[in-house]
Amino acid sequence: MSEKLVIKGLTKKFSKTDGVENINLTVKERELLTLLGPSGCGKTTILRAIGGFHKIDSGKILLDGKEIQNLPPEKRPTGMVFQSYNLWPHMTVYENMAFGLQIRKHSKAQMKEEINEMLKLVRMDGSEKKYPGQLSGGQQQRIAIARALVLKPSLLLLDEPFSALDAKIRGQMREELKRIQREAGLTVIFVTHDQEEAMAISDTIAVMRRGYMEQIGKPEEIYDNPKTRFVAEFIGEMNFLEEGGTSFAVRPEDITLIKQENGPYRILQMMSLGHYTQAIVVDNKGNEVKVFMEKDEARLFAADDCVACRFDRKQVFAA
Amino acid sequence: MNEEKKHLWIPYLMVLPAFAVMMLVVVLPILNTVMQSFQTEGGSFTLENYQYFFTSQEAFNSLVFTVIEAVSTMLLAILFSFLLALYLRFSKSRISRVIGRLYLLPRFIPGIVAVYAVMNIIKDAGFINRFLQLFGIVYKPGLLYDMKGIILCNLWFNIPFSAMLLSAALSSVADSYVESARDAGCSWWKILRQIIWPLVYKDVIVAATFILMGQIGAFTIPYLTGPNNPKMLGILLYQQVNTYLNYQRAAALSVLMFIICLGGAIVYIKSNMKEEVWEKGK
Repeated sequence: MSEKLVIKGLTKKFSKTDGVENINLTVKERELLTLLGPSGCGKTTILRAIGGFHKIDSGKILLDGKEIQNLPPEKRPTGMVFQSYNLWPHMTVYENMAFGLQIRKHSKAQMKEEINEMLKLVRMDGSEKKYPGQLSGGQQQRIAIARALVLKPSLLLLDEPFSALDAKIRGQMREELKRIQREAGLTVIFVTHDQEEAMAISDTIAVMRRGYMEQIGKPEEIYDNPKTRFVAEFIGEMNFLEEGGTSFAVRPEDITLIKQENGPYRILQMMSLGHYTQAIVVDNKGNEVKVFMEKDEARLFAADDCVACRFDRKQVFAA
Repeated sequence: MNEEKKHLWIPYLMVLPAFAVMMLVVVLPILNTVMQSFQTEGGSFTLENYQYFFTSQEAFNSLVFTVIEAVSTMLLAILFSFLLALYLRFSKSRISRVIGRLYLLPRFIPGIVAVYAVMNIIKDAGFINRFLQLFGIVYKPGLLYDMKGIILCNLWFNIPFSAMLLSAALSSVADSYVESARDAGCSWWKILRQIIWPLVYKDVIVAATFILMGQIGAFTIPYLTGPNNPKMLGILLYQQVNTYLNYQRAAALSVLMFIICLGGAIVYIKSNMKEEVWEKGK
């Protein structure tokens, strides 16, 4: 796969502590890269810098081998979808979609064909005459994605596009986005603070913290081998424990409970979370440990049982 | 009698004070004025009071003068305040924040104080004239006792007022509306015309009608800064009452001014009632 977007030494400071510094990032053709991090980590700043909405202090942004960092947004071949208020409320779906095509002076027949094709891709055909106010939040975001795609952007930028939607729709939209990306062969940069969302849709995740890249890698790589304690804490569930003076981390699914009278842990609570069960066990010092287990296995345990824990996979972090 | 029925009269009781005041100071005087405008001093029916204003050259000149002044004030105030509101909405600089806090200040200065202050600057022996004299330049602005003076002073009051209305309207234009338009390759001019204007034009009409109607009945500013002839309708009315003591003619003029303002009211109500398709169900 060839390189689609290369960012070299990008710096954008709003104040001494606020902003991003010396960011290096490569996005490959047809890849979906997620910038993941807590709010204020600079993920949106990077996205807006790529889209041209922030003038950067220094660094280079190369898209398809061309430097774009000095171009205004209207001259960049990127398409952006925002968190909300994406569609122009006074225009119909069709007018929203046609807006950019009119600027590019496409013929009416051509425009109609392209818009129809895009609406089919996002499964919203038949909604041409509706106004944004008549659509649900999820439908509006589909149209917003279609409106960006109809202009054939070289790179699609999504700024927390699903965070205003409720959980169920959000899940559906993730699958939709994945499908659209596959069918249209898109390169996408996706910004989110939701680690579950990032794990679900990404080819590559870049975990950010306070303006820096903490770790870049495939979702499973980041989940299985987090480089820092921050990444370990931020992605998925993690127990931080101490044994014999050394501290280590264990994922809840990497712990096996063993029934043992006078065992060092006592089960505080069993909670069924659908397809698996979560147990919280506590030692005599009051340290709580979270354990995930299969439903069948969970039937063998009850609250107040004394147990021992077997840690199948420990990880150690420097800081 | 059940509980609900017992308290049926409470809403009426709450409306009554406002309603009584309305009747007393608005409806009754209007009816009285309309009646008086069709009467002679002796009380018999006549159209002479109206005839006077349609045949008198002075009255006609004053009408033209008032309309030109009102329309100019409206256009200039809307233009300046729209630009100001756009700047306040879309600039994130410190200057914009400071102006954002200060621009309403003129509204808090008593009208007459402000008018005298402006007069002291622009009159022929005022600040501009004296300041330039320091450099040996003799310049008389010629703004006072002229339509230009009236317009200038009115802009002082109307720009902040209309900027306030338009700022509120512009705050409904989300950043992402503008940013997605730029992303689609749209120029600033086109964004203004196709994205911002359709979302705020109704409020511009509302601000414009308010300004226009205010000018039809304006008194303080034209009285202090305007010329003797032709004059604004407000001054003409004042003269009918206080100089000529011709109450019937004053009543007729009042009715005429009321009819002009009614036009503004119709435009205002129409633009407020008209709901675009996209606004339905909001």
